[in-house]
Amino acid sequence: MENLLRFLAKASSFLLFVFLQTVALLLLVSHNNYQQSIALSSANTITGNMYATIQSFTEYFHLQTTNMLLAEENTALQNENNILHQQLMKQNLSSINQDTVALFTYISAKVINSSVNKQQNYITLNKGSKDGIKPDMGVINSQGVVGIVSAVSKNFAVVMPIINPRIKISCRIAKNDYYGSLLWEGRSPFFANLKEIPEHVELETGDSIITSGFSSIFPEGIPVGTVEEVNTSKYDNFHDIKIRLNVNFQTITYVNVINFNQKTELNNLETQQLQ
Amino acid sequence: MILTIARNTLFFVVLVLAQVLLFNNINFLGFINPYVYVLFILGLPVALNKKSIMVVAFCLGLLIDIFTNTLGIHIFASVLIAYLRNFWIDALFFRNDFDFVSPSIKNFGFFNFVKYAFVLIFVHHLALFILEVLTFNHFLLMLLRVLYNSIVSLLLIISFELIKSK
Repeated sequence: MENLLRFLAKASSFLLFVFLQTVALLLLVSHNNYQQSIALSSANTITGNMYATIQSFTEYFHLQTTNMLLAEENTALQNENNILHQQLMKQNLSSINQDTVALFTYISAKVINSSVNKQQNYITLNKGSKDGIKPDMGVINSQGVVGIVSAVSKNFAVVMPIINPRIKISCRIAKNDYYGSLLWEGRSPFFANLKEIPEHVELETGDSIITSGFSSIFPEGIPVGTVEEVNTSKYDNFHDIKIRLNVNFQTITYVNVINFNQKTELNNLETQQLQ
Repeated sequence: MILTIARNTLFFVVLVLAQVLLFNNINFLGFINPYVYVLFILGLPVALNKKSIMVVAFCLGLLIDIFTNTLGIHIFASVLIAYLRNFWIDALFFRNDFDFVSPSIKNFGFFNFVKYAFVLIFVHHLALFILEVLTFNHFLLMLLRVLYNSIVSLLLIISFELIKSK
């Protein structure tokens, strides 16, 4: 007994070391689940507010680019609006049916912190559950798909962007409707890879890739990127396609969070089917 | 004593803030992200007992992890070098020479400090980057990342030390 106690006293710092490392690994493993706990993420009140304060200073450096992007988006939307308006006139409808409920609504949010140079990148937004943001909502900006919401607190939200190897987004080649999934392999924030496209599908550099609309996260047809390089793999019958991402994650400032209005209905239906 | 604790607490806060607000936003060449907060673990007094160093390292890692949404990895890397630190000091020097000082360029000498710091920074970054990817797919690429980042972290820490000792 005395020997045991003496041994424990002698090895106590090693035991503490093992204990602390076990705690660290447990935190790592449990946190690796797709949905994060809020208190231990950058969405908690203290870190969120700190990032928001700093962002309020640093945003001045990006004002020019941000303004330019917003102006461009504005013009594009104006043009689209004109075309839609003309088409309505052609069909003798002065306005659309008021009862129509929009399938998707957008919640605008500002990026208060983001990273691009890590293996696992995250974006923090200045809006949270009190603005209607929930985990698993899609996030886009005027350029294309940004990512998926992974943790939400009252005032802040954490987004897992495309440039995080833990998410996979279902995509479609715009010109021929073949489906595949988009993955990021941890190198450059400008490129990702499209998987599961069979070898016989013909592709060219510059073909655009859009969302498939298979999930209730992104509506169909949101731009993701363009084909940069196509390689044929020796080991299987699928292409290895390098995609240039539309969104520039280094300058990202404003985003829209997508609220799919019939999500609960769809999910209920799907769970009913499973039972 | 109280003064030392107060000064170290202030240094702790300043380092965490500098890390998460400044150094985490450095995006040099697309993959350089120095982790200078390890300076706090490197600079704790030699005579401080190992358990306290590990507990401090745990708290430091936890704070950095919360800010970067990477729970666990900074804790692991920090506690690892906190544990290895005194073994490394013993291996490098006669312990008695430095019993009452903190590791710094002034107390260790330039080359001794670089030797002391670089190995620990490298071990810290290696643990960090391995846990970050949790795969050995692009091992060589990762190793290069570790090396470059260690060098940048070391340079920043040395420049800080040089400014401090003036």
